[in-house]
Amino acid sequence: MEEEPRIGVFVCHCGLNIGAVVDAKAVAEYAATLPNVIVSVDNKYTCSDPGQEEIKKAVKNESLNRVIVASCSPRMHEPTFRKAVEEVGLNKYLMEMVNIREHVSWVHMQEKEKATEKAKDLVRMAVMRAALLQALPKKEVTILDRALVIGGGVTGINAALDLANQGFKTYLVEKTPAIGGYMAMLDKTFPTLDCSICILAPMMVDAGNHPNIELLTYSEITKVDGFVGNFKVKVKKKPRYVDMDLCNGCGDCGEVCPVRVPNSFDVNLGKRGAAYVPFPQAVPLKYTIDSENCLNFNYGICQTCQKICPKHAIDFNQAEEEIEIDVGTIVVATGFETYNPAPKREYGYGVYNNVITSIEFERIKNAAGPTHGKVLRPSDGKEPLRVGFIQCVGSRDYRVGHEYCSNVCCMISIKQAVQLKEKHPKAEVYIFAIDIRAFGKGFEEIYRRARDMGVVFIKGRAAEVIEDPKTGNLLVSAEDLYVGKQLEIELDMVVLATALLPRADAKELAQTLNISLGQEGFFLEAHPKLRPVDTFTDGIFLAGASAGPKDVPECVAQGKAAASAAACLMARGKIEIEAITADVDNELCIGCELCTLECPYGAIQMIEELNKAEVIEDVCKGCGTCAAACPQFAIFMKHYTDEQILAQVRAALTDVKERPLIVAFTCNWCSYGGADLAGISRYQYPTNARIIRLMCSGRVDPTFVFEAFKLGADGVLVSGCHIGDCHYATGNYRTETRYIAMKHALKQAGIDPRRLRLEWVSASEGEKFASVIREMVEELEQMPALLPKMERT
Amino acid sequence: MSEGEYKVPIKEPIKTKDLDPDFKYEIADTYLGRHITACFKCGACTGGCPVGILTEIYKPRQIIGEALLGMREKVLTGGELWLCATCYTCEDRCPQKVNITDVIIALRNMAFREGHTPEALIEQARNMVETGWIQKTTASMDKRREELGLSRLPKMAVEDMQKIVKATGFIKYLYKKEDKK
Repeated sequence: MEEEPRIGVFVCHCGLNIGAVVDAKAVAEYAATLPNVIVSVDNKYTCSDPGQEEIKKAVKNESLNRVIVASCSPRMHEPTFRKAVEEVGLNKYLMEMVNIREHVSWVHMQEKEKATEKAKDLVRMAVMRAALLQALPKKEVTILDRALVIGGGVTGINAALDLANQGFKTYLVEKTPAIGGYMAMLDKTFPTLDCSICILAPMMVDAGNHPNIELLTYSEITKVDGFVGNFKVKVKKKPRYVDMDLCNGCGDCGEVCPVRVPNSFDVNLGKRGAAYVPFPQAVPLKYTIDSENCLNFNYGICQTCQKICPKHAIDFNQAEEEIEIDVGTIVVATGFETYNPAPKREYGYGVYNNVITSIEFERIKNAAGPTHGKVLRPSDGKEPLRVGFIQCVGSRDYRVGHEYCSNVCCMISIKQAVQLKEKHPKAEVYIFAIDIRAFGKGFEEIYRRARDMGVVFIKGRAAEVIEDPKTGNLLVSAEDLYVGKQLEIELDMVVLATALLPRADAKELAQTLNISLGQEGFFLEAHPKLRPVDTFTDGIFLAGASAGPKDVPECVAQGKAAASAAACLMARGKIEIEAITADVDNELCIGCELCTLECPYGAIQMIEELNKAEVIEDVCKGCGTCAAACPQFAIFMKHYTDEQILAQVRAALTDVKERPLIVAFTCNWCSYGGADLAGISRYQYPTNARIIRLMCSGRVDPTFVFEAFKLGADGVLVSGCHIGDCHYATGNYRTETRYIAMKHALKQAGIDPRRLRLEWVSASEGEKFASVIREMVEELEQMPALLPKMERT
Repeated sequence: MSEGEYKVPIKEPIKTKDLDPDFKYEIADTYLGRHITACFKCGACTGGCPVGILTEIYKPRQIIGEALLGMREKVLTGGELWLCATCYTCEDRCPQKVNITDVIIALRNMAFREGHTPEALIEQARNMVETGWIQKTTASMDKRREELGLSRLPKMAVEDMQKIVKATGFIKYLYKKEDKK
């Protein structure tokens, strides 16, 4: 674009969110003095209709060709303002946002003057960058009208059914031999005491029979390639050694199987054969032979099942199969797992027979469970008439690293207490709880019902459980706040209300899918309030307890929400994606092939006859790692060009009013988000950092860092996703390699290498981002000033 | 109170003016007391306290609760602080990682500086500084040891100890002005 830049700057007060700390008027007045700025105003709420109207009017009246909005995070309102400028005919890549809320006013609440100066600096950086921005053409991709749902619990079943009912072909992948998940294991559900399997089984059958749903049970996702609308997914189908088409679920094989092993569906309390269905209502009702325990696989003997099967369905030669499916959208509904409370030694789980967990109680109480629905205690098979429930085992507990509340345990224990009281009104039932959380529909009512039935609530965390070895009875110590005294209660059985944890393989799946994990290890939603089922990866959605502990109705709602979000994309059939890709300048390229090695996606190929590199645009994801590596500056990274980034660096270091000054390069996905979260959570840190947003930390060309130091930066921070979590698979490995090399170079140049720092900050680590800046400022303050002469000139 | 008669104890509620809202920060500013504000009053500390089993006067939850509320006077002068056996069971079980035993020690330090230490403990500290033993040794004790064939009690590094208590300023809390040493 050859025309002269005409820039409009719109500074937002965001009510008092920005206005109470940053002097927005002063920032706007300052912006007016900057080159190419034609219009500069401040607004109460720029995102409001009148605010957007003002932008549009200014673009029309003043023929603006660049718009800068200084307000909240682009992760919040970039789409809003891009749309606004597009409506008046401006290319959306000519709109630039300056984050003066999450990165300024919310994190420097006590330092109004410095915060205003920082806001001015950030606006100046944006103005310099904006002058160099270029319009990019629209890029559209088609969305396949097929979906994948990972996880066959109540969440996944609901998501799959909703997608299938809207006419989308849906693959439902489940790791175990049958769908149903944890809900199939429960006896009754709170607060209404509905029979869990009775309400779930019809849905399971629907999912099993639906013409649009293809069940892939006993299967796992191994690889996911592609992008929104066009995912290529590899699914590993474990061998069942039973022909799915022939097996009619008659159960003859299970009956004759001589092996007895603990059934994991019964949390190992009951037994099953090596040929088994996990539970009678299983969907699909097809047997599985577990090769780990089958005599044929271990000793080459038996084969009784094969002989007896009337349909000749058993095939010991079945092999693992890998299939590839192409889908447009993915719903992740992999659920949770329960905490094993053995590390909480004071409660004696695993040592005392009569200390069990909530889920074990569910199986014992379940008519299809190991005791056929009779509550019997493990030590002697007697019916316990004095039972205690201990709450928050592994939840709200910093000692075991789970700081969160597991949401469902209060209600599970109250429901189980009510079930005990229904059977034996005279049973003595105690619930030891720090406090009872009864926030949902019908929750308070069942809490009242439990008290009316005579359940005793002890307000205080149980301190320890001691067993009387002769009787197997248990002594629970606790302080009851109301009585103000220590108690020792003798009980027949103790149930530990254990925490809900992220699945052990969540991290692995997150890497396969390229989605983020939160601090607790659950999948991270794109926004905790407004985008609860989205991830940062377009086309991949989250639902249910895989994103944090949830009860059944919430899981159902989320399953349906995720299905709806996925359907919205697929129904459109097309979606516009970011046009940020790399481009090679043939004149400059020397054919060194370095970029082809750097690219995590193999998106750069060599044109052999010319000995020049070429970018395959559809495969390029736009991380910019190649551009950072190119020794010839021959790679042109759209929207994040060398010139644009260097303009920001230079602008940050002209007219420096604050020392030590830190230039901070953050990746868009993790660290910029981490800095945003610091703002949202109001973690305060010093004003010294000037953040430059890049798509990936791998984009940080050493040139940017050296330029910053040359111009007098006191410190440079490079921050990206944790190793293994990179949004671009391996971009941050390149960052790390370059970081080490840059440290050496700085040392040789006589610059203290501690001035350059690399930190992995995820989008859920707001506190970490704040403390990194705090530490850096402290460390830099200890060092002698760098290039004092240059500063004066 | 005569037999058969029950007197209803009359108590005023605790009023805002009786509370010191800065007390919790004062404690949190000490290294040992730094985690006190994390307490969510679950009572796991008191439930398993071996001292609490013997006497209901000692309840860590109550001390922490009073401290957080700002009942400075009650906490520092009440005397309960000095019953802790420093076994660290509470600290080991606290789900919020409040280092309760350390908090108690922090409170003891504050109480000591303000002169609220039980006289018996001060006496022991004085003995320590003067003889190296918390109990004073007597001639008859030496004699008894000899009769039993036990070795003589070793000589303690009393001079070093005195240097330390003087250098740290600890000594000024041990003696009242009249019995200046």
